[in-house]
Amino acid sequence: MGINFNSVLARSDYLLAGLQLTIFIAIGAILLSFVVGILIAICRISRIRALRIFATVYIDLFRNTPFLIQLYFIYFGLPDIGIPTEPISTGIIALGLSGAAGNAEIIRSGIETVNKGIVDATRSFALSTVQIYRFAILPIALRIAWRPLGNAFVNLVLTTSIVSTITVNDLTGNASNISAETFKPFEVFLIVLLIYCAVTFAVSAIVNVIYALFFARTTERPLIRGQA
Amino acid sequence: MKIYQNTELTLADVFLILRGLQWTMFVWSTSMAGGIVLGFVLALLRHARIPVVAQLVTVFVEIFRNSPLLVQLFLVFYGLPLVSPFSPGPAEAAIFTMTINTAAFTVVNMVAALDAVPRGQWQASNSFGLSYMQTMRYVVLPQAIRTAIPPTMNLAISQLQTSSLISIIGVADLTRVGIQLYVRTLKPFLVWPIIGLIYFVIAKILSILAARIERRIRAKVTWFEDAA
Amino acid sequence: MITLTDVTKHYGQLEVLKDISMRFNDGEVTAILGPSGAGKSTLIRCINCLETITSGDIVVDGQSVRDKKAIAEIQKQTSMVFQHFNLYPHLNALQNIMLAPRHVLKLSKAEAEARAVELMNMVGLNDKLKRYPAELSGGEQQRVGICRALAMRPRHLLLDEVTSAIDPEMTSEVLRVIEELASKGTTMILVTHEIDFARRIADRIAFMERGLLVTFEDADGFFNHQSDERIQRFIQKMKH
Repeated sequence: MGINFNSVLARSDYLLAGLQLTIFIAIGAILLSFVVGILIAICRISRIRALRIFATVYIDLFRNTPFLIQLYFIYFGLPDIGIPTEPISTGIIALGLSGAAGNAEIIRSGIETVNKGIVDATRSFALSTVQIYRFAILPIALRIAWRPLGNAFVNLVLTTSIVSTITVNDLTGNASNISAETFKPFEVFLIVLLIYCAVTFAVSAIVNVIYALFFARTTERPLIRGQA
Repeated sequence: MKIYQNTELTLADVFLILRGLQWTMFVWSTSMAGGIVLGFVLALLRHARIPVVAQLVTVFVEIFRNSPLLVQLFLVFYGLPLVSPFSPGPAEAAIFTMTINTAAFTVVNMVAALDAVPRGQWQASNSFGLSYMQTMRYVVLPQAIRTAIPPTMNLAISQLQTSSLISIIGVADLTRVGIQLYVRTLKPFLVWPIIGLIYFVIAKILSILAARIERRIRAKVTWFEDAA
Repeated sequence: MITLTDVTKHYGQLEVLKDISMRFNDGEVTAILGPSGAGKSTLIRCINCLETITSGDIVVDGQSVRDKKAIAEIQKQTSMVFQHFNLYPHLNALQNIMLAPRHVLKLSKAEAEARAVELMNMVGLNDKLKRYPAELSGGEQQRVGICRALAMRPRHLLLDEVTSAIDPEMTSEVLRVIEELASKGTTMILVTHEIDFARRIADRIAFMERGLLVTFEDADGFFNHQSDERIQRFIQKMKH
């Protein structure tokens, strides 16, 4: 017994490599889940019935089944229909598609809070549907959705650890390897736990910075006299 | 030489699945119950602002909310036996870890619910000579618990999905049975939809239940407001 | 020129416009008056193609609102100012005005900005170009709203109760801008409750009630030689 970090710290390069991959996967998954989330949200409130049904089923399925099952389904399923799968890209895609379902709900409720009059005003100037979304609805909806989206992104970062189960050598995957090698599982996983904490705090910080940069000015704020 | 492999699903597998479901429900329900109780106590400790204890609770909550459950499971299952006299089996480790994880999230819900009770009510109670404990018990908690129920129901639904991760440390839960069946039949498009569907149905039942409870709470609150 | 022929509009069972036929000539200012719920706003929203009509036809400069392909063209020619401003909260005053000219008329950024600055000067807001709507008063927001509509250089300006959501002490600054536009010969259709204002600037007055066009005549005849007792009572009541 006794806690000793030496042999684990000796393999810190290995942990760092895992961290790098985790960050790479997280960025890919966040971007994918964001873009797909917007598309699904738009489908969800579309006037076309088929799109609405598709989005509803998509959201319902992904939100009510475990991510691990979704991952296995994609990773083991695709080769069965002749599409070879590679762990890292499969992981990113599965994370992105799964995260998109939650994001879609967040973005949809953001869109629903957008003042109908603003949509009318945009329509009245002959902007196309795509332009209305791009210039009016989405910027306003995303400001409202941004903080809950940030929480979803943090969650997605934590979920990336699950792709280690399909042989990805991310932070968790490499931690398991080091643990088997050094036989110091407690030390390894404790350090990794804290690294994940640090990463999620960094993600929260980035989310806040983006909010301050892009969204803060448009909220109500006191008039500063004499400033144009 | 042809290796005999039973690639069909049989009636016996139904019992296998039911057995797995039993484990999933057992670990999930015990850890939900334990986590809610533990989280409730920790939230009260934090709300009372007892020095050191309150800060420790905060640190505990942030670490467990901001790290992956998978790493927490590894830490307990592989790590604990080497640095402590406890060597939990898979199910024990799973229940222990998920209890703590649930507790961390419950603290957040509960603290938010406690803070939602207007300060004026504390002042009013003080003016009648009620002690902190009495105010908490007769005035604040009845309201706070009602506020905390909907987020706790949501937590229960998401923890059911997350519980699939316990299969990775060897608990024979629903997901583990899925892996066994997949390895034997090599039919991803048969096995994973069946397993996924079971999670889906339970989650759906839980959300219908949650919606009903939420409606009842709201009806009660409105009744109070109407009477006032 | 805008011509309405037997225009009817239903919301489900509710009939909000009943067989309306009228003509708005170029260079004229028409005020649409009437009690709330008369269908005045719906009428100009139909002209702007924000609402579809149930039957009849509206022809704007030779193009019918029933022709789906003409809608964009009609909307370019008819710009609307809204009761609740409906400015974009995420864009500053200049960006609010420039959005449609840039992306619908495909003006360059410099051209659109020049137009926007010129308009902001005209309405007396040259010191508030970069302010966000949340940082402007109601009267200022509505003046930006007017600039946003004018930046499209429309042939017809539609104003939907533009002063009813503004504090009384700020309505005059908005009315002054509209009066100036009227004196320059801008074609305007305005739905309003400001009866004195309508008397001052309108060439023609339409009076609507419960979806029907009760009268449509010259302002002089409407105010000075009114024979209908109910309308007279309405004018008296609205004066206060």
